[in-house]
Order: sequence, then structure tokens, then C-alpha cells
Amino acid sequence: MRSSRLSLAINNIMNLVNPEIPMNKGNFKQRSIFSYIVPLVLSLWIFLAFLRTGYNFLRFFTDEREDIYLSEESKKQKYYGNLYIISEYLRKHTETKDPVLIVGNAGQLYFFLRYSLYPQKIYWVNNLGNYKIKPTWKYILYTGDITSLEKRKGLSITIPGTNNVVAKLMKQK
Amino acid sequence: MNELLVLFYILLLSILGASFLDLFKVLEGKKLLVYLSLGFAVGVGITIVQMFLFSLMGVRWDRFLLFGPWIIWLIFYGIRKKNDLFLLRMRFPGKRTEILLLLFIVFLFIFVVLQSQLRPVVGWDVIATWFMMGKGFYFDGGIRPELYRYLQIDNPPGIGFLLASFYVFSNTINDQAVLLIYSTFYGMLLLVFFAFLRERMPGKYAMLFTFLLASTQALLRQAGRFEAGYADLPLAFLFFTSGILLQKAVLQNKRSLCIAGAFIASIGTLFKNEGLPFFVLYVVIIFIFSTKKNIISKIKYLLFPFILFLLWQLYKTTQNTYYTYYLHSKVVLERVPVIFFEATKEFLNITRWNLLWISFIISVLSERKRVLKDPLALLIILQFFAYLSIFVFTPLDFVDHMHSSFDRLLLQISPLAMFMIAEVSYTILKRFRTLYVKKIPVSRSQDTRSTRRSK
Repeated sequence: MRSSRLSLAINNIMNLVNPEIPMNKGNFKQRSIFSYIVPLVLSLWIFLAFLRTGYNFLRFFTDEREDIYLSEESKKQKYYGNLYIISEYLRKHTETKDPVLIVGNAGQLYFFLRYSLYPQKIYWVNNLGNYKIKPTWKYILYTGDITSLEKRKGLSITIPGTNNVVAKLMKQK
Repeated sequence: MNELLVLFYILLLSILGASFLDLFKVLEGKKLLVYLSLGFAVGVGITIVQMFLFSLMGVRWDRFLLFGPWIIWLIFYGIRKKNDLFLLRMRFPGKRTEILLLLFIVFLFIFVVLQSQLRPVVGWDVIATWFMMGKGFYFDGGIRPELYRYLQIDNPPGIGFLLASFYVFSNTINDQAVLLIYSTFYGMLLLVFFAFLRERMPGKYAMLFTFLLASTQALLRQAGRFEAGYADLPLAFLFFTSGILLQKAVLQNKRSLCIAGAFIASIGTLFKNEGLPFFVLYVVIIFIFSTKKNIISKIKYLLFPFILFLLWQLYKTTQNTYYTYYLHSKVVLERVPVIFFEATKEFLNITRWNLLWISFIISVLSERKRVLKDPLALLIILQFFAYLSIFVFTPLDFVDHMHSSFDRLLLQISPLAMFMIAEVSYTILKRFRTLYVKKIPVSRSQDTRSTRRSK
């Protein structure tokens, strides 16, 4: 009784009704370890997939809910932070034809500015040292911590509403 | 408004591709899903080839030049084939299980579409390379070697062309709306996956395996979440469509399928460098199976895909845009055990893959005798070893390199692997049922249906 119920249950879960296939209980060659493993792994996978889909659904209405109501501008400020502030500053205070040299350990800033300000040319060096600055590079953007920036000359780029300097922009003569 | 333009643009590419599939009689039957999804792959390919050729000829991209001829072609073709349009058909799911699974799949698609519009582009490679190329090509009105020298990259221009073609189409740069194209690749991948799987198994199974693929986190991330904008999902779509056409070509011994697949695979070489080994393996496998079945007897049939494949290789060599750190690398075989260990770690990463790679290994082991006879399985395994070989000779720290890129490489072949899992699992489940589950009395309606089917 119990085994037939189990058979029915498995049959219902897996829904494998295919009357065209003849029953072949005696064929022991077909019985391998994979006949057990595959249904087991698949069941676990299906369970996981439904669980994660549910989790994604929940996250959309919990953690990520606030993003739905943000404006495009606010989203960029949230996800790009200081990079966006510097980019917008350069967009307003420099001209597209004038290249900018970034000085400092600022890989992310370089790639972001290179994309957002294109076709304006952006270059980047980690440290000026003996580096020869080309006269065609109209602007030099210094990045780094506040103490190193304080020593630099140039226009301060600050986070709006605060005095926190994030970079300094110097125009070459 | 831009979002609607994306939809119109995608539809245009799909119909354009479908018209060419119909013209060359690649597909049998009139299945709407297959035409739409495969048509999208071909449409993307045609657009990219056109943009590349225009660039080489020095013709500046223009909305009317790029899309005008195709719209005229579609109107002409539509009038000529208007009766055939009504023959296109799609079967809607009737059973409860199918409807439930379909609802989940649709939900996941809507989820990635919303996610793609929820936040700006955040992937660093996307900003540094892929979207940068699109913006650069759009401003330059074509591909210019100066841009490559400025960006110092060696990536093929396919994704850049695709993005730029939308910018040309909409006459503006909108990097938020364009993310919808990535969700479309996800949707089209699921459509083509389901459509081809449906030919091998009942609808509910096809739907179940499509759902399992759709819920893979790595795929969801590139379709609209934090990694939207990378080239791996479009490449996965191209790999899958070409791979499945290859398998179908071998099974049906049909040349047109083989050529269409090779064309799509050659487009993959214009998308990302990983497309290159895939195309080479693809051609090798065609010829291996041709010796038995004579699908492609002469190389002339693959001339067009070969030209496309060579086009980019020649361009980057002649234009001196070739920046690659692999030039000074050498093979270090001592890395092999660590590479296999790291690969195993990635396979077991359930948060990213659920049980996809674990199931794949089980499938390969269970069908180990069949693997060498199946072109699809052969393609997946050889491409996988091609990926592993990258880390044997990378000049970068190979463990770091693996951590940062191996998941993306696996993503490219994951739909193909999923297809193989589905085929193998279905066979095993069928056996499982015949061995352990008692036969249930068949209802009258089911009985008549099965008799009709067998007739």
C-alpha cells in the first residue's frame, strides 16, 4: 500500500507520464548510480531555484525598493559617489577639447572620467615624479587624501554641502 | 521614450534576421519562438557586419544608411510573404505545471528588465571597455584605430557596434535604456533554449529546465543586475544558438543549418576574444562529423564565416591596434593542479550557479561513452579546456586572474551545458520512471492523444 502511494507521489511530483514507453523492470543494465543521483540533484536544484527566485522577489521590494523612487541624478550620486561629483565639476569647468591629466592612485576615477567625459581626452599617472607633462594637457587633476591635497595648488572640488575636498584641479599656464 | 525605441530596435533586428532565415530556408516548420530568437542572433550579426564594412569603406554611420535599406527590404519581403506570416504559430501551455513554470520564467524576465533600469551601469569593465567602445564608435561614426590606441584595449568591436547602432538608431546616447538590450539577450536565450528543448521532450520538462537556466544567479546578474553590460551574456546567446544549430545539422545532415551556425559563431569572434577558440573548434567539429556524414564537403560553404573571422584579425594587425599582455607570456604547466582546484571551487559555488556545474559533471560522467559522439558535448568540453589553458600561460597572477574572470567564462558556455544536462537528465528520469514507478492507468483522453501522436 505504502509503496504504491510512494510510486504515485513520485509520479505526481516528477510528472513523467509517458504511456509510449514500455515498463522495463527487469533491465538491470539501465540501473546505475546515476539513476539515483540525477533525480536527487535535480530535486535539490529545483528547490534552490524556487527559493532564490522568491528571495530575489523579496529583495526587490525590501532592500532595493528605495532605488525605484530615486531620480537619475540621485542614482548616479548613490552608485558613483565622488567620481560623479568630480565628473560633473569637470564637465562644467573644462572644455571638451582640453585634455586632463589625473595624478594619483585613481584607477576607477580615470576609467569613469574617460567614459563619462568622452570625447574629452583623459590621461592618468600614478605619480608625477620625473614625468614630463605635455603642454597640450590643459588641466591637471590631483587626487589623494586630504593632507596631500592641501599642499596642492588649484581649484578645490568639494562634496556639495560640505567642505570635504575630493580633488584639486589646476589649469596649466 | 528611449525604452520604446529599444523595443522597436530589437523587433527590427529579430524580423530582419528571421527574414534571412526564411530566405535561405534554414528552418523547417513555422515556429514563432524559433524565428524570433534565432532571427535576433542573425539580425545582430547582420547589423554588426554592415557596420564593420561601412567603417572599412570609410562610410560614416547614419540612421538612414544603416537601417533604411533593411526597412525597405522588410516591407518588400513582408508584402511578398504576407500569407506565410499567418502560418507562424506558437503553442500556449495548457497544463497547470507548465503555466506555473511559465509564470516564474516571465517573472524572472520582468525582474531583470526592472533591475536593468533600477541603477546606472556599475560594472567596471563595462565602463572601462564595453560601453566606452560604444560611445567612442558613435562619436567617431565608425571604428577608428586612434580610439583603440587611446583606450589601449584589444577587445573585438562587436559589442561596441551593437551599442553604437542603437545610439545611431535613437540619435542619442542613453546608457540606461541600452541596458535593456542585455535583458533582451536573456529573454531571447530562454526562448531559443525552450524552443529547441521542446523538440526533444514534453513541454513541462522543457519549461522546467528553462526555468532552472533562467534562475541561475550568474545569468541574472548579467541580464540586468549589477553586471549588466558585460559581453558574456550576448556571447553565451551566440554560442548557444550556433552550438544548437551544429547539433541539429549533424542530426539532420543539413548544410544550411551548419552554415547559419558557423555565421553566428563567427559573429562571436567579433564580440569577445573567447569567440575565437569557439569558432575554430566549431569548424574543426564540423569537419570531424562531415567525414562521417558529409554535411559540408567543401570549405567554400564556410567562406563567408571565415572572412568575418579573419576581418577583425586582419584589421587589428594592419592598423596596429594590437595591445595584449599575452605577447610575453609562456606556458607554466606547474599551475595545472591549482587551476583544476580553483575550477572545482567555482563549480561548487552554489550562490552563483545553483547546481548547474555539479549536474553537468554528473551528466558527462553518466553519458561518458556518448560524449565523443555528440558535437554539442564535444564543443562544450573543448571550449572549457580552452578557457583553462588561458590560465596556464597568463602573464598575470593566475589565481587572481581566475578569481576575476573564470565565472564569466563559464557563463558563456552555461546555456550549452544546461542543454546537455536537460537532455541527459530527461533520459535518466525516463529510465527512473520505467524502473521504479508503477504504470498508472491511462485516462481515455491521454490514451487517444498518445495513439494520435504515435500515428
